[in-house]
Amino acid sequence: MSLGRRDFLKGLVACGTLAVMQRPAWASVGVMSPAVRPGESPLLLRTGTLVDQEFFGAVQAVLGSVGVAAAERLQLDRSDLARPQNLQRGLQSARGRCVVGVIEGAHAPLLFELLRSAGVAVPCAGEHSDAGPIADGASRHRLLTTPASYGIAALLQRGVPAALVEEHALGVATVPVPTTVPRDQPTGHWAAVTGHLLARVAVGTWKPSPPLARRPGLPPTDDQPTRHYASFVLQLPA
Amino acid sequence: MSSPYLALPQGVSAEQFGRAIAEFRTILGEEHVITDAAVLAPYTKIMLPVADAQHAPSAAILPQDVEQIQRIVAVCNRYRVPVWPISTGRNLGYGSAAPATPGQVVLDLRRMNRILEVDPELCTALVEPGVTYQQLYDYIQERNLPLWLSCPAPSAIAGPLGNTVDRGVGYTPYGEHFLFSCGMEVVLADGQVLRTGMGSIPNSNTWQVFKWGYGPSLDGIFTQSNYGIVTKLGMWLMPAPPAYKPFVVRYPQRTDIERIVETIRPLRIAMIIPNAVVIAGVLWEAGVFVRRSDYYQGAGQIDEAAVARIMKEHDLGYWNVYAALYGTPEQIEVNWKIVEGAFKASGGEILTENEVGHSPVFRYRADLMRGNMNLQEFGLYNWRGGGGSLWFAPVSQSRGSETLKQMEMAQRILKKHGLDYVGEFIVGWRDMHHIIDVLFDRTDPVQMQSAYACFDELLAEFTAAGYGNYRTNTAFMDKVANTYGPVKRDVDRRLKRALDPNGIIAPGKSGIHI
Repeated sequence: MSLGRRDFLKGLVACGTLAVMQRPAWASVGVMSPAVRPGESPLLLRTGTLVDQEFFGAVQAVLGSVGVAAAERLQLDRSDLARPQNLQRGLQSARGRCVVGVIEGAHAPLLFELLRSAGVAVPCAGEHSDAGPIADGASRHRLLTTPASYGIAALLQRGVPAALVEEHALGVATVPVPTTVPRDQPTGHWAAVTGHLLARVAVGTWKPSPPLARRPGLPPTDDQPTRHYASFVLQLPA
Repeated sequence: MSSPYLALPQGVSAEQFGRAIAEFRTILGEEHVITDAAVLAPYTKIMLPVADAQHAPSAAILPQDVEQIQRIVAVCNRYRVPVWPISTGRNLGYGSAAPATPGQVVLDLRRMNRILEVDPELCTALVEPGVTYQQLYDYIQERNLPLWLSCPAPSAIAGPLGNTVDRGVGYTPYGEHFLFSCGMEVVLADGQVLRTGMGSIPNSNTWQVFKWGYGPSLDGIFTQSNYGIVTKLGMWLMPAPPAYKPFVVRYPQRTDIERIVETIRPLRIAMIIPNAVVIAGVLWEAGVFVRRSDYYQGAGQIDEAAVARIMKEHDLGYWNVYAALYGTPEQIEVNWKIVEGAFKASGGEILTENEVGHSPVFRYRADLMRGNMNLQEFGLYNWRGGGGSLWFAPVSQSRGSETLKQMEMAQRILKKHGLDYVGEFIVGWRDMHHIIDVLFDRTDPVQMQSAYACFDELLAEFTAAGYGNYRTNTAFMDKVANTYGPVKRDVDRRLKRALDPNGIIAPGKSGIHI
């Protein structure tokens, strides 16, 4: 495996300067401005998973609703996800941009290792399991959220009632409790609901709400999900 | 009550922590002190069967040199803020980059990434914590130096300093990494800088050639510990041999493990086979490229019929022994006759590059046994999916009866908890590292509980049988420390109190607290 040392070092220390963060008055655990800069669309990381159609269909719908016609695709394919130098090149090419994506779960450990090394911000990430391409009942989800994305797990749970959803909300923050049920509650396949919610985090139209409370006595599952995925919104440093 | 921070160190108020953060910012600059939740998120990723919050950091700070670290520890002492040092942080399955206890500040040493020296005549190197194996490999290739590395399975993205200080292993004749290290530089909790071995002599040029120095040899106490922050490591590098012959020997039955080990032991002790031999179980071998769900959809441990199908369809042994010979072609020819004769007598099927050189699985092992970068082992996360991985790593004698006993114990306990035996043995000189990857789905609350209970039971039973773990993950560090008894824990604590009385360096690492 050959790798230009200069490129490799650039990839590893890419976080030389982080983007300046805006802090809305109500949030108290470090908050990002919308991951996407005005006038810019997020890059989409598509690697041919079985849920691409549902996920990216929903992402595009949200982008369309805020006036973004067609999002660019980050130039990485499935085989790149197993090669650190290709991943690093992909991340380099997306400096200063927001990325929304879903990948097969097995690729997530390596990806997140390189994200950490590059100082990439992750406003939201999910781990998902389901029993196949069309089963949206027997699905399970763990969402990692930050102040920019608190509460999306509750909407995922409402949108896919038969799913098992947990939220790990980083930090403790005081967030306003919404007084009305959101009008645009997405429903349907978990990948579509997740894509919708992550896209809203990316473009800044998500209003954080209380993280999903942990349900005691979670029922045992007989279903054996066989497919695993990871979803995310990323903000790469400039 | 809200706080501006994700978590706080135990016993430290938000105000106190805020003052410490402000001082870190003065030392390092705003951009190298991370408290933003989204930027900290990757530091919180764990593969353990516990809540993420149990290992959540409060912040991450990134120094670039020893002087900054000295100023950092002064701040830590002032405010009693603990730091959790990581080099590259690739302790996957052992806790990744997250601290042992919540609220610690991750001291991320990745900016300290200089290769300080490589001496091709003495075959030594001196590196900083942020240097990766890929970086060192490229350095050697660019200069056409006749030197080989020894790396663990995360290879390219892991770092020699971090892996050695955690006593990790590789697969070449230099695979016992701590054994082949020579000299450290350590920043102590009081800010003093210690160079071990011959490094304490001013202007020493023997720091990387003679391990022991004078008086008590201290390198060991800075491995798998929290007694200091290692900022430089000396390494011995293997001279590139004129020839290299990797091979695999396959065995069809589970119980063959006994005669495999009896065959290998004398060859290893006599150094006829000089490298750390891997005896990979079928599920480990297959798991890097096969999904469990393609062969078995049941809830319990995968059954023997499914395992047999995997073996047949992918042409794998139940055990797959990887080893290599190194030296001149003449030396290899002589040793090959001995090795081939021994393995044939044991009933194994011997295959070389001629027969299986095209196989990606063979190539992955052949790469690691010569210190080339290869990340194929990440494919293991595809076996079960769901992101859960815990390494259970007991040690045994290099005796067939012992390895059979350990394997059967492990399989029984894993089966009880509905988990698969994904294991291999790494053969040292007289010891075996038995490495079992407890793979589970973190999205399944039942599997989370099962994986934790399984590890607990493995630990209890193996300890009762006299087997200790050589390394463990951050969720089990106190429990594993307990298995080594009260005297060891007391000595560890007394050293900790002497060297770090305020407990500012990695509290909880290896179960060591003040």
